[in-house]
Amino acid sequence: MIRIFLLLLSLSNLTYPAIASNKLNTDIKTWHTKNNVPVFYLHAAEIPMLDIAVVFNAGSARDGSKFGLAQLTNSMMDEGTKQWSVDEIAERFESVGANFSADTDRDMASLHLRSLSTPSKLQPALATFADMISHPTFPSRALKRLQDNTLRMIEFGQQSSRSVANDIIYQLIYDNQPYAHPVIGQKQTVVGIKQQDVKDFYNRYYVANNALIAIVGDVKQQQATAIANQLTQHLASGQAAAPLPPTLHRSDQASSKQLHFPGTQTAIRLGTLGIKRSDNDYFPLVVGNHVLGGLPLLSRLFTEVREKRGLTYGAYSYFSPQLVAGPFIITMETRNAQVKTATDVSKQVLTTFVDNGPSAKELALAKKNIIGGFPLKLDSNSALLANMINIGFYRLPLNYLASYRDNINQVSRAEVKAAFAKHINSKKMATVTVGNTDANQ
Amino acid sequence: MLKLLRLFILLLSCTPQLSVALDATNTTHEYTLNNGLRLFVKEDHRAPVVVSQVWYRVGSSYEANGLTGISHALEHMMFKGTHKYPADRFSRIIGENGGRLNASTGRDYTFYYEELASDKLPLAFALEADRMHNLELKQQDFAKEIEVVKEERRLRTDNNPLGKTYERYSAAAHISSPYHHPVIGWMSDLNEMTVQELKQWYSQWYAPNNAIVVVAGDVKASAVLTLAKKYFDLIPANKLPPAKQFTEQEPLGLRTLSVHIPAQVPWLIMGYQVPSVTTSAVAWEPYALTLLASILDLGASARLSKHLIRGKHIATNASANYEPFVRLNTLFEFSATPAPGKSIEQVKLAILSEIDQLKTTLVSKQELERARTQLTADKVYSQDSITTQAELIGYAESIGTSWRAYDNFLQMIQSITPEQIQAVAKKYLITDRLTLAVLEPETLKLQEQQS
Repeated sequence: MIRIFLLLLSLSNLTYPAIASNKLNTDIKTWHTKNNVPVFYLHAAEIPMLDIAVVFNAGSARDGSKFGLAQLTNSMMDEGTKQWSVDEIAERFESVGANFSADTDRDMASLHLRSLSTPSKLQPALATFADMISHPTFPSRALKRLQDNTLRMIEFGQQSSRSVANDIIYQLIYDNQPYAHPVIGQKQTVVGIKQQDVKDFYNRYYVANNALIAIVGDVKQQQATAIANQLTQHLASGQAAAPLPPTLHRSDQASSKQLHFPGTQTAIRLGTLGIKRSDNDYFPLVVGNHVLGGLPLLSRLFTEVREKRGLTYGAYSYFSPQLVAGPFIITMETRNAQVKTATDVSKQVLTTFVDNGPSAKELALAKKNIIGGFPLKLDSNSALLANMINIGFYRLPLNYLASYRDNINQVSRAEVKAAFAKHINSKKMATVTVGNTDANQ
Repeated sequence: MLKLLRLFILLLSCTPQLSVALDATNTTHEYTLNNGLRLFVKEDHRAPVVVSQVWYRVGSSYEANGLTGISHALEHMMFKGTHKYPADRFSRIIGENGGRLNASTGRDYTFYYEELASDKLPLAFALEADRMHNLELKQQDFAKEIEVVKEERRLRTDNNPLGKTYERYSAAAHISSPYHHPVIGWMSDLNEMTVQELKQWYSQWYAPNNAIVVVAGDVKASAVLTLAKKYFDLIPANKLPPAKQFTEQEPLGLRTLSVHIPAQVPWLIMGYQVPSVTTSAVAWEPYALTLLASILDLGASARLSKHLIRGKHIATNASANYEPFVRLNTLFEFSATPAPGKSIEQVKLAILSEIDQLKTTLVSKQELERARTQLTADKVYSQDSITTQAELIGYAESIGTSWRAYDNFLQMIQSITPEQIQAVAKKYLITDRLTLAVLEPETLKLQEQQS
């Protein structure tokens, strides 16, 4: 593993100072457990705590037609094991001060344990965590309750114009492809999910060959090795999830949808297919998007829509690179009477940017901001864990963090312009408005 | 740029066994400059980064009717430039140097922060010192920015059924207390606000003797003091308005209200009038209330999750919240969403039954111990973020108590008995002190009529 301070010596055109960057904790170690689960580990001994994530390639892209199945399965992992009830699991964790959470997105199902590193606290938490990962029982009573909770979450989404707009833009970009539907599913699909569906999903995807572990905190490598083995030893070997089919542009990709929704403000979303995480244009697009709509207060979108015109509280653009092409989305909310102006201005900003790329000054600002802000991406165990999951899951090189600033620094204006021209057709953006656009006219 | 409810209680307290790791007194340094500016430095050398926060002791609870939202509107205008750093120069300089910046307005404070590589701290100080006394406040900037603020209000409150309901509930629960009005301000006041009023507010409250600077990260306290003197020392102190004492009116009985707006999900919010650490006549009571909230709702093993969400499956979420570190009297709150097929009335009765249980039966030793362990662990975990470490100092100092209150908090939590927890339940969680609001979705009513 190359440490940052060694890397610094090898770079000529430094735009970041040679501050005490050897203190950045990027010395990620990796190995495999006895049953072949990749482990990513960072030692951080300053605080007597430990973060562990067990991640499966089992996000909502694996739902098939049972939208919401991945999320339901993951949220049921702490609902009971052969050994312990849901109440016992909660008490076992919390009586030693441990926090457990389960998160699901379109690609990943993650189980996260945060514990004190004191052995008397850590050992019971690990035993509970290991049992939950390998021996969940998915009680049918719990399934009914979590279906009810999910229905309520869906309803909460339906009373928010922003949430409705987010769902529709994904629908317009992806049609019936695996990223199209919301992670929590839809009412009619969620109620149809059976206990056997959950068990089947778990048996298929929660297996050693479809998992990774990330560990950061106050344990030595030898102990981390033992922990990773303990957590995975009872997982079935199984098969890695099949590659997702490549995403395709819809034939009518410039489609638009206006939905009537009560209230004084309209949610606006423009979107199209972006890139997969492994795309070679990742760094030019990151830098370019910073100029276009990524950097708060200073990006072109923020300046034109908010600072110059007072049309919105926030105006942003983002890529969400995933296993296969994630979306590129522009997002803002404005008072109902200004929807047309805000939309037109945003489209103009996007078109101008895609046609001409950033100015030299803008590019310099974006690069300085990203490079100078790099230490902030690594300043806590939480941040380090997120980086390790990202590296492990998307199979980024192990020196990803060490080489990150160099990669940003090398991006040129021509590369940004070419990357946007290749990936973003500003004339074919899907458009969504959700709001009471009749109200003020 | 606005934060409202904070689960402050999760971040406090600790037990003796971990006191070595948690002893903040080793690394928190406190200074006062000649002009009254107070400086706090928390050294944390894990990564080469620093957070700089400037807190002003002014927020929505300092505002009168007609001027609601002015602290927050001024917070927005603080990014609009000075003579030395006009327009977006502030944001641009921080941006070019890889920093993040933002600000937050609450009921008791307004604060501004920059997160930077640790060698960039002088930039943050230079810029913050300048806008502490040189803000331009131009009419043409204000005309646009107040529209941004109104969009923020629409986003957070007017088009958010829970936000809207909470605003009405809070206005009913606080009678004469300035916690009555929303941090972001009533829309009618935003419509009437003028840049002259902002200038007055700025000159009244933005001064070194009303400011608290908190720095956390990879810095040396003595060097930070030298920097602070360099940038802040020459700013003259202000004559601050005399602090007014607020005494909330006696509640005199149950207050209920309904909020009828388009929505999908019914929601219950209940609050009992209670003291905070700054207003309590009995020193231990806020700590007993904190443990009471923890036993009800700190984690999946706590009573509301175990009994209401799982056991009876009567609610899809249910929470109890008490924030002791605020300036005025506050509320011990419950909120819940009924499970499909269950009614608000059933959920309310289930919560009241949990409260009765606390009044009639002492909490068990195991429950109390578990709550203490969780609060201890959460205190350890809070050290993972330098921003959180700095904010905890800022919150405590901005309400007029000391950051040392956290150490005191720890000892108090350890000393609280099951009998004291029962005593505060009996004294405060009574109908006379209760305000209860229900979000009754208009669309749900139609569904009910059909069934």
